Amino acid sequence: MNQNPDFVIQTNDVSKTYRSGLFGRKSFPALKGVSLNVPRGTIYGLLGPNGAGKTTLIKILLGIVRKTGGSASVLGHVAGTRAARREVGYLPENHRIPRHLTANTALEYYGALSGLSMSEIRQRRPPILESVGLVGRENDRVSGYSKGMLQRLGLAQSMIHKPQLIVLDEPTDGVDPVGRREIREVLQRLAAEGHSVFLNSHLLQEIELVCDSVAILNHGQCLLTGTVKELKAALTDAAVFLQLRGTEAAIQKAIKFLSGAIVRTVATDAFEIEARIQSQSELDKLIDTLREEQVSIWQVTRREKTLEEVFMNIVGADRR
Amino acid sequence: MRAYLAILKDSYREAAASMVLWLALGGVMILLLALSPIGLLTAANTALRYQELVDPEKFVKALYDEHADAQTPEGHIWSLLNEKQQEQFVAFTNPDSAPDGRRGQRGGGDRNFIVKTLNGLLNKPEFFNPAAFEKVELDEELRLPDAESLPVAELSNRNLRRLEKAFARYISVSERTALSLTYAGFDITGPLPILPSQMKQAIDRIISIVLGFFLGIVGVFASLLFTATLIPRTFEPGEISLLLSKPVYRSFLFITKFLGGCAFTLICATLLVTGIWLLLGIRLDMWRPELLWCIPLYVFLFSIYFSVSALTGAIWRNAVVSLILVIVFWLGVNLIGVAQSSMEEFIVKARRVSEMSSNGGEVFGVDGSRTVHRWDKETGDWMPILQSAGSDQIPAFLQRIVFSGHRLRISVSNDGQRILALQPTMSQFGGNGPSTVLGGNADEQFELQSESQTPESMFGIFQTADGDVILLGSRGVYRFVGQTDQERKAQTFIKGIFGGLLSSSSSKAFENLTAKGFPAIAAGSSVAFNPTDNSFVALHAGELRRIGRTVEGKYEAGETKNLQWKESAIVAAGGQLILIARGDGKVLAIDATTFDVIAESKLPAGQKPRVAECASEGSSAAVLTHHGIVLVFDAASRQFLSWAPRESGYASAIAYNEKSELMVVDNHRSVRVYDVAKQTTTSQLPGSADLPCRIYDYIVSPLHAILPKPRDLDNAVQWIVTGEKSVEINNDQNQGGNVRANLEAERVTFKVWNAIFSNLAFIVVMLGLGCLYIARSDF
Repeated sequence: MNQNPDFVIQTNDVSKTYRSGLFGRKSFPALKGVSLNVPRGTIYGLLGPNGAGKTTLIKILLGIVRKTGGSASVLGHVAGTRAARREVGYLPENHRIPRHLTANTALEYYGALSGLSMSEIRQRRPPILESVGLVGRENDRVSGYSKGMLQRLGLAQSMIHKPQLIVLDEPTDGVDPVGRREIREVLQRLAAEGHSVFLNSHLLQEIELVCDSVAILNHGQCLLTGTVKELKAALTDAAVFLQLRGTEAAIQKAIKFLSGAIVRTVATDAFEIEARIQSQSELDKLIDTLREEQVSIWQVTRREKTLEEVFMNIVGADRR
Repeated sequence: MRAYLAILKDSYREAAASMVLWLALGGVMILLLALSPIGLLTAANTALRYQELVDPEKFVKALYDEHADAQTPEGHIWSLLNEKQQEQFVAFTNPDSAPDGRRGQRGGGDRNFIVKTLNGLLNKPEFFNPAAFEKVELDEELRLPDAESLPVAELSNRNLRRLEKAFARYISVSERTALSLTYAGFDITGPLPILPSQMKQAIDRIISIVLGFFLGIVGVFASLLFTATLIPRTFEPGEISLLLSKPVYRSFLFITKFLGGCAFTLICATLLVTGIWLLLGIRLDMWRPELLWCIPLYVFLFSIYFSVSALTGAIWRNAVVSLILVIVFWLGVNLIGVAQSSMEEFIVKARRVSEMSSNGGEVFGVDGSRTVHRWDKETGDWMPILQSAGSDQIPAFLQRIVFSGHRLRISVSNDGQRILALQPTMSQFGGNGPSTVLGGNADEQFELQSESQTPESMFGIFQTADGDVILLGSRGVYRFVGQTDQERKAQTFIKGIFGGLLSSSSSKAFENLTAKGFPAIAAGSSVAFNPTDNSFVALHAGELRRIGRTVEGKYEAGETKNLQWKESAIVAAGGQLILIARGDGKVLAIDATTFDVIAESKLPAGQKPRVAECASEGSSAAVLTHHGIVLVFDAASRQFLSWAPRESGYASAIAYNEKSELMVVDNHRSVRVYDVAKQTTTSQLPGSADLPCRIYDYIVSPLHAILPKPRDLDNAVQWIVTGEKSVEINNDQNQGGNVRANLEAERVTFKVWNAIFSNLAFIVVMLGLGCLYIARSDF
């Protein structure tokens, strides 16, 4: 696999089949040839319903789960190797930090596991704790932390060794809106500092708010990848709304060339049209025809879909 | 490395954060605090000890002989006895006169009775009658009448000293002081029945028990309970994902977690052992730094079980399952250990040749069940002999249990046609009981023909070149003239569980060859017969004594030499050579005439001699250790040889034949005969193994070898604490006279390194499997 330095993660036809039962006779394909490229310096979101294979893909990238086929690289290293892991920070879903630790000792522990010296840990610990809002609670045992504090501490441990890539699996899961906002801010700050973030979340609004690019996974397959804008644009169904003044006959005549256009009467001489217009030239033609029929055009509106709608469209279509 | 150190450090953090640890440490502290006020008080001796009454029979006889004269110590003491005590004493001297027909058993019970009776008199002011003790050489302090205000302890001490002075021939007070156990300064036990010199040994045993219980059982199980959740928790999805995302090796992560799990035990063991070490040092002035080795040892013991817990915890990720499997494992290894040790004890050792003698072309051996065998040239195997025709033979396994501390001391006539053996009797358990002479001859297929009870406890039975059978006892030398038919018919066998052993004495079977002035041979002495001049040498507490034969055929004491040591030792003699092997491993070749040392050598570290044998004309001598190592001395070159028989390391018995060839029998009863001068094999008698032995050799033993042996680590603790690599079993000699190790008694060998290596191998396998499983698993 050719490793492109522009991408922090590259996967090519990665597959994973879990086996269970006696002699592994039962098999369950979790990933079926996933290929994606995550550009450097971006926040990349991985979307998909439960059981889509998102966490499996992340664990393959970190070497926690072994892939069955295909190839994957992280930061130019073969995915899962120690060299790759050294430059990655990871916050797992439902992570468990040993309860006897405090924020300080947890960062010391995970920092040392990442290869940092004690002096480096001492130097990096205060600003990180400040950035995740745990200053003042750093010497409290984590057994007394709220879910949000634990998530923020988990985020802190993933950043302590200043990794090039941070992989977050459901970072805002169970966190209140204020905490979510704080986490979003941290992610945006990381992106601004040049870190790459690979984010797995089922909260589509979160993804839409912070991610530059996304990939949509369903049933172990990558259905779509691209920037959020591209996805929304590509999947917008070209609905155009026009508010018009004129006679209904003139309007009907002008839109004769459009199939499926809906005309709604708003007042005696006021009408609204909803039409699917695939291109600008088609819109220009519609406007020209309306004007030729002496119809006044009060407003033309193009409607854009949300990421959630895009996701539901894609996943729904895949289910069908 | 930094990452793994962090995991270790975290384990200590986790332990420190645990309530269980603090509870355990609290328990240890309470135990140490409870032990700290214990002390020892050394005070003047106030009572006679059991073993200090060296010759109870003669003592009682002396009392009885002089009982009419109250102006003698004997008569005075007799007068202090009540009627019942006097009757009992009379019974000891003359069993037939006992009013209730009871025989004096001459055993431990009677000696105990005498000692108790005397101790009952010592604290009485009337014990000392100046007129009665007038002829006894007493110190000025003892000669004066005691003040009425004299404390009882002081009075008892004075009377004890008077008693010893008056009966120096029969009573030997070992030490002038006695020990008492104190708690917070209060004497809680009174004088202990052990000598101050035995205190170290007693404390060693107590330490072994305390450590074995509190660390070996309680500590290990508390640690297992505490750590049972450690590995399963580590492999919970939220934690393991976080750990595995770090740049660490999975195997090292598992091993480091395992090592970290040992932190709990390390902390507890360190506190307890260090505490005991400090207590011993501060309170008893016994600074024993070697005790600190128990810390890593108990951590090692715990790690055996924890390796199972770690593997099962990694696979099933469930603390309860892990704990149950550890308990099943604990039961399993202990069951296999018990099965192996039982088979070894009652099948392998029972079958092994532990004594051997050869003469006139015949080879005889005694197995671990104390059954005498003859090498049958026709069948090429050992055949049991000296079997009684009736059913009064003790079962072999029982003989092994009962007589494991004794040798039969077989003696073969020059023509190989007669064999005699000396079997201890049940009545000897008290110490100075008689033995039974067993005999058989070739004409009657070596069936048990004669059975006679010796007049006293015997050190050995020997056959001279001219056919005399000589026995040496503590009070004299006797010639065995055999039983008359009349005696044999009159012999009464008391049937019962030990039926054949309890026979009546045969007074006419022994002719006393003791010259006047024959010195008492102390119990615990080692004696050897020199066939060249039919003399004996006796060795006790470093004093070597010749017992020579006069022209009249009597035996008298010859020259003595104090070799300046107190170690127990065994001796062999032949021609101009005496070989002495000491309990500390030192071996000396000594000139039989001058008693000068010819050569010295040392057994390998930790080895204790079991048998010393000398060629009859003194050309060579050999020592066999309890670990089967053979060390040979060559008289011609006057040096100990670096050469050793091929069986050295697993030899079970040695002997010299009539050609002065060294015979060595191995654990499989195969005998090889060596020409020591040429260091070559001259002949071989192949051994054989029966089915149980084959099962042991090829199934049980290999299985036991590859399985861990946590039980054996208790021996390692004993080794560390006592410094002994083996421990004597069933040592009756200790009760007889001055306390000396009976080197000839069978010893339980501590296979310490064997246990450590096999347990270490088991841990490595468990961790290896754990690493393999984790390396191949998805999390």
